[in-house]
Formats: sequence, C-alpha cells, structure tokens
Amino acid sequence: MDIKNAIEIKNVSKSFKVRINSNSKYKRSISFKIKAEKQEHVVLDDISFNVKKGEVIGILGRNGSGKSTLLKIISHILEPDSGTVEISGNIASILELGMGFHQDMSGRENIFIKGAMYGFSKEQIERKMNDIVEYSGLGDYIDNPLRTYSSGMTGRLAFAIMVNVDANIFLVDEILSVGDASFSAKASEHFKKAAKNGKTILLVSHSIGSIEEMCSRAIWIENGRIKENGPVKTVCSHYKAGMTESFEITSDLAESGVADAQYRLALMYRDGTKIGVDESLAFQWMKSAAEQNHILAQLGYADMLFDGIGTEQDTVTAIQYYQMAADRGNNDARIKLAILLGDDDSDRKEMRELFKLLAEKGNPLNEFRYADLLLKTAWGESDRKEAFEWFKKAADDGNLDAKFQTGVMYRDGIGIGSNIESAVKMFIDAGEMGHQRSQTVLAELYLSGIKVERNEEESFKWYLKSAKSGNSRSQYQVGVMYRDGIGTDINYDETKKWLNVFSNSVLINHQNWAADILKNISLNNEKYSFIGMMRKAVQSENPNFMFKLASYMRDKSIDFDTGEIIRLFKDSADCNNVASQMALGDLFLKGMFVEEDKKKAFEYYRRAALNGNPVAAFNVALMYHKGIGTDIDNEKYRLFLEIAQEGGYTDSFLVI
Amino acid sequence: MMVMNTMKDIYANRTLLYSMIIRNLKGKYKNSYLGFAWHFVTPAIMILMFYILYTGIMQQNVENYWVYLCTGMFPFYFLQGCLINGSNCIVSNAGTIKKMYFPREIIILSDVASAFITFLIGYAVVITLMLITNCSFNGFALLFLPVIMIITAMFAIGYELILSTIVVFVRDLQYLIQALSRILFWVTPVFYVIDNMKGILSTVVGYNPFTYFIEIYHEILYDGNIPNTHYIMLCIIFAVFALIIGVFVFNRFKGRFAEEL
Repeated sequence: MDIKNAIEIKNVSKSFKVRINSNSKYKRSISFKIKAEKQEHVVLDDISFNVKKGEVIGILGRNGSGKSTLLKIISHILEPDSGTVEISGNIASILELGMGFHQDMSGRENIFIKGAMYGFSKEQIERKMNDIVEYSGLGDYIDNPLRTYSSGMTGRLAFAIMVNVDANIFLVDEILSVGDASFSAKASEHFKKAAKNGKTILLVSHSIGSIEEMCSRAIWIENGRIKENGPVKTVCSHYKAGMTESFEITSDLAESGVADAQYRLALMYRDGTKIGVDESLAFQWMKSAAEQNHILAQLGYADMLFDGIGTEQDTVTAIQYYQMAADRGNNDARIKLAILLGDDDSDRKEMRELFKLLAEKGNPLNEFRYADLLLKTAWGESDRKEAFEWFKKAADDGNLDAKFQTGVMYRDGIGIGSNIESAVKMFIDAGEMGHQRSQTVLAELYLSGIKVERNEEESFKWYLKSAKSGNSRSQYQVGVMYRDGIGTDINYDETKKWLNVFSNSVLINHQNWAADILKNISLNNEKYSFIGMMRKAVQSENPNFMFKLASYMRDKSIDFDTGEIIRLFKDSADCNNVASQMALGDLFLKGMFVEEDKKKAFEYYRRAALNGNPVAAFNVALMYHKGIGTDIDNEKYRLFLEIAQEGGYTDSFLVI
Repeated sequence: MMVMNTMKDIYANRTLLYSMIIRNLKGKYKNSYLGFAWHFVTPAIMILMFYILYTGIMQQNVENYWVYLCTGMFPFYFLQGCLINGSNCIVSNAGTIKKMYFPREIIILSDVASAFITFLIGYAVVITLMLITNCSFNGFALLFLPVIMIITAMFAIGYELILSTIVVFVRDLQYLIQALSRILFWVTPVFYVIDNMKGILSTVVGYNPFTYFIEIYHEILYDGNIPNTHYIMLCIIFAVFALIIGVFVFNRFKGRFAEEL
C-alpha cells in the first residue's frame, strides 16, 4: 500500500441476492419452500480508486447507484464479493446520526454507548463527556431518558457526539442533507474544519452544492461503476448535465414526485428526444406536473388539452389551467387567455395571414417577424413548430436575431426537441457575427456547465466578446474572471480595467450627452471637447458611440488618423452595428481611407441589409445586378430590392 | 489466526462490550418501578409457585426443596435466556449492525455476559439465604462451582453464536426456539428430582444437554457432593463442541449480516 494513501480500493465488486416471489406473497408464506427464486443484483462492479491522505472526496450518484454500499464496504460493515479494501489509519463511519441510541437510557449513558461504537475508550469518553454535554446544549436534561427528548434534542445529542469523534478518516453519508438548514450548515462547517486539519473525508451526498463546496475531487458512480473520477468541478458539471438530460434520471426523479422532472419527462415523451414519442405518457406526466403547480407544465398541459394531444380535447379544463398559469404571472398564458376569452380571433388571423404572405417572399427580416408573431400568439405545439421553422429559415438566410432565437428554441426545446449541440452552433454563429445576446448566453452556458460541458476558457472568450461590444454585465463578469483566474490567467491590471469600464458604463450616457452639447457650443476650454468626451464614452466599447465618434472624425477627416476611424468602424460593425456596417460598405466601395475592396464592401452592405437597413439592401441588390464584389444573381437582386422597398427606400421603386 | 484477530478486535472494543453489558442490564427493565430487581423477582415468583405446587399440592416430600429449586432455577434461566434472547440478538441489533462496524461477536458476548451477571447475583442471593438458614456446604465441592459456571457460559456462547447466525438467514427458527424452550423447562430436572423419573420422559431428559449442567449445580450445592466426573466431561464436550462450531459458523457468515438484515 502506498504510504501517501489513506484508502486503496482495488477491483471491488458486490452483488446482492434479491428474492423474487413468483407466487403470491400469501402462497409463499404457507409453503415450506425455503429456497425462493433468487436473482443476483450487481451493486458494485469492479470499483477501484485511491484516496490520498488529507483528501476530501465526494461521491455522487443517484439512488441505488451503489454509493452507500461502497461506503459500507469501506467501513467494513459489508464484505465485498471480490476485491480488496486497504485502509491506513483509523476510520469513523458516520452513516446515520441517531442510530444506536437506546430510548430508555439517559443521554449520558447513550453517550457512552455511542462513543464506544465510534471506538472511544472509557477514559476518552469521560474526558469528552463535558464537552459533548455542553455542545449539545442539553444541560441538566442529559440525565433524563432519551424517550423524553424531542427529536431536535436527540439530533443535537447525536451531532454533539459526532463532532467529538476523532479519527483520521471520515466516511460521511448524506448527513449534510438531513435535518434543518442550520443543522446542515453546522455539519458542513464541522467537516470543512476537519478537512482543513488534514483529515481524509469521503462524502456521499445528493446535494451537489455541498460536494462542490467541500471536496477537491469527486467520483460519480452510476449503476455500480465509476463513471467519472476527477476534479470536483468537472465531475459535478457532468453530473448536473446528466441529471437534466438523462432519461433514466429524469424518470427516476419524476416518479419520486419532482414536478420539474415530470415536466421535463413529459417534454421528452412529447418531442421524442431521448425516447420515442408517446403522447399519452407525455400527457400523464404533464398532468401530474401541472397538478403540482408547475407553471410551465400548466401551460403545456393546457396546450395539450386544447389540441387534444394524448387525450381528448377539453377546452374547459384547458382554460382553467391557462387561468392558473396566468394568475401566477405567465405572459404566454395571459395572451392565450385573453384571445380565448375575447372570442374575437379575426385580428390575430388577419395579422398572421399578412405576415405569412410577407415572409413567404423570402425576406429574412419578414421571416423573423412572422416567426416572432407566431411564437407570441402560439396556440399550441403546431404553432411553435411552425415558428421554429420560420426562425430557422431566417437564421439560415443570415438574420442574427433569428439565429439567436433558433438557438434558444433548440436549447429549451420549444417547437422542436431539445438539441443542445444545434443550439450552441446557432449561438456561436450569431456570436461570431457580433450578436451580443448570443455571446452572453453562450458564456453563461459554458460557465454553468449544466447543459454543455463546463468550459471556463470558452465562457471567458464569449464574455470578453460581449464585454467588448459594450454589455456592462459581461464587462463586470470579465473583470471578475480576470481576478479569480476563471478561464484565463489571473491579471489584476485587466481586472481593474474592466471593472473601470463597468463603472464607467454608468456615466456613458452622460458622456454622450455632454459630447452632443459640446459639439454645438464651444466652452473655450481645452479640457472639454466633443472628441475628448466621445473618446471617454468609447472606452465602454459601446458600438453606437464608436460609430458616432468615427463618423464625426470621418466628416472632419483632415485632422484625424484614418487608421483610428477605420478601426472604430470595424469594431462597431463587428458588434453588429448596422450604421457602421453601412459606413464601412461605403468606405470600401469608394476606397476612402482604405484601399478599394468591392468584395468587402459587398459583405458589409449585405450584413447591414440583413439587419434591416434598406439603403444597404438597395446597394446589395445593385451589386448583385451588376456583379460588383459578387456574382450576378438576378433572383437575389429582386429579393434585396424588395427588402429595400419594404424598408421604404424610395430609389428602389425608381429602378423597377 | 482469524480467531486471534477477532480476539484482538474484541479487546480493542472492550469499552463497547462494557457499555453494551450495562445497556442490557439496565435497559431491560428501565421503564419500570422495580427496575433491575425484576431480574430476580421473576425467578422468585416461579420458585414460589413451584414450591407450593410441588410440596403443597403434589405432596412430594423432598428435603430442603426450596434449595433444590433455587440452585436449579437460576442456571436454567441463564441457559434458557441465552437461548431465547440470544438466538434473536443479531436480528434485534439490525439497525446498529447495518450502520456501524464493530466486532459482531461483541453483541453475543455482551448478551451472555449480562445474563451471566444476573445469574451470579441470583446465586449470591441464594447462597446467602442458604448460609442464613444453616444449610450444610461441602467446601471442596464448592471449588467446582466457578469451573462449571465458566463451562456453562462457554456452552451458552457456543450455541448463541450458532443460533443467532442461523436466525439471521432463517427467521422461522426464532419462533421454533421460543416454543421449544417452554418444553425444555419440563424436560429439565429443575423442579422435579431425576431419580423419580421413569419411562419415555426419562429418556428425553437424558438426551437434553441442559440436564447435565443443572444436575452438576444440584450436586455441588444441594447434595454437597463433588460432581460426577462423567457429567463434567459431558458438559465440557458440549461446551467445547458448541464453541468450536459456533466460532466457525459465526465467522463464516458474520460478513453477510449487514446485507441479510
């Protein structure tokens, strides 16, 4: 055994024999058949790992995964079928606090018994007796029989004994998650202290939070095997991801009555992710989640009732559930209820028809608008599916908001089965093009590690992008990440810079106003000028202000460095600022400040056009027509002309 | 080797053994007014009952019959207690066994030890009474008393190890033992004298190991004789045999207690 190790576990396997009663219970009990049919149930399957001295390890896994059995094998209570467990040092297993108490004996006598079970000698118990009594806060009550204690007092006594247990290795099973909040806080405080004092601790818990907080390493056990053994953050994030994504875990949780799990399970059945579509099961689970007051489930349940999915159509009950969800503040439910109860559906239909006509012409902006309308007035699943299709189409045509929206729908499984990979792809697409909301959403996804694998570097990268495009929350986040070294090296200068930027963002509007005022009047003061003020505002990386400053400089170009102007425009355009994209298109087309580059001009115009700028759309149309910076494409020519027309750019009418 | 380790383990946990003995002794009648005294009140009532029954109603004339009753009743209670409670004691400690590790033998040892202590105190009372009433003693024979007591305890530990293990796997045995131990009382010469026995009952009594233990106690204290060597040998064989099988069976299966319970 390695001297550095406290516990060495090699190839431990354990199976239980489970008696199966093929006959009825009654029949079996009167028969003399001692040998009932037995089935082997493998609880642990070839488990090996080492625990170093002073290490704090968390064991994760859902009910029945074998984690408690493992702890019992380590603490010698159970014997493994095969494999070895070696331990160096004395071990205290704290599997259940209140166990081993004798109700008819006094608290003091129970301290003796319990202490002896933890391996105290008589002298040790006598020495610690006062401490234990004092810690338990029972006072004179300690000499009364235990049956006169309240459950709280028993718990306090058990805890006081536990705190005084002295061992090198602690095996702790679910203790942090029993009892009230103050109790579990006290317990985790105690073990944290023990960990600091160099004790080896093996902690089994359902609570990912407490494991994340206390442990340096985590072991995830699933179906009796080690699924993952590694740094606590990585394992926990995978485990969390598994919790929300795994069909087995979700159905486990759903069966034990967790409303959110029931809702998620219903979605899985409804959309056929993870498992085949089963509308009646989807309906059942949705119903039980809705009955537990899960708002989204109430909405989903009402939708299903309304559409008759997995059940017979029942508008009355559907309205009841819409009402419930609406009462608790769900806007979707409110809208549906308003329309339903309003009885007049013609406006809505008319609007839809109109938008549909527009969208069918192929303008990505109108596609987006129609999808948006559909989603906002969605009746049920079919509307959401259609909305998704249109968002997807607009996204494929290059609209960034649509990309973002498609990503959100993939992520949350709205109108389509949840597909996190596609969601991330969409967000990345939009984020790379400077879509700020996509960037922050990506950063949050990577940081939380719930739906995708936790990746601090990626998270940092996206926060930084978003921060650079002026999102103040991201600026703060980036500052903090530089401070704590999350996804990047610790860099206090950068921290200072970004936190400054963040605090400046409060001022930025004032700087903007001040600059506007200074543009028109002269204060005869060197210190205050439009340019100076704007440069301050630009430090917040806000694309609008970059455009403003750059265009001001462009118009008075003689005095300024053209490189700076182009840089400002570019930064701003990369943050999806339409005006800057437009301006850059102009500059590249005319070769002003930069070398003439028709391709780049076309690209910038196109981006501006897709963001809804009619002038840019007109320019793009002309370029398609004449083949400037791109190939001639008359179909696209007409499409972009239409976009320009819809945007109200009158020149485009003249062309036709 | 394994036995040595177990012994070491038990020694390391002697505080637990000690506190469990205390728990057994104190805990049993804790919630009553007489408390610990019930350990002696129950046998006293039985002794009184049989005294009246045997001398008063059945008109049997046995010299110093109360001494005969007392000297047999306490060891019998010890053996019977170890049989009924003892066979059940692993199962009744299931909660602790499933949640904590300590040498499982301690449960058996503490059970036998606490019953033995009751037995000792009971005998102390009996011998005091005998001294007060000027009963005659054979001093040399008395030297055999601690010997037979130790042999009795070993026998009890032996069969407790065996039976408590089997009960874990076959719970029915526990109820069988409860029923049989009532019969056991009638086929052990506790309240009657074995010399008067005839027929089939005497054969059954002869096959009952308890008979030889109780007879030795009778001989030492009631008759004042040095016990029959043949009986002593038999008892030693019973005790050693039970102990060897007990240790073997218990060691073989103790690792599975936690999962079977």
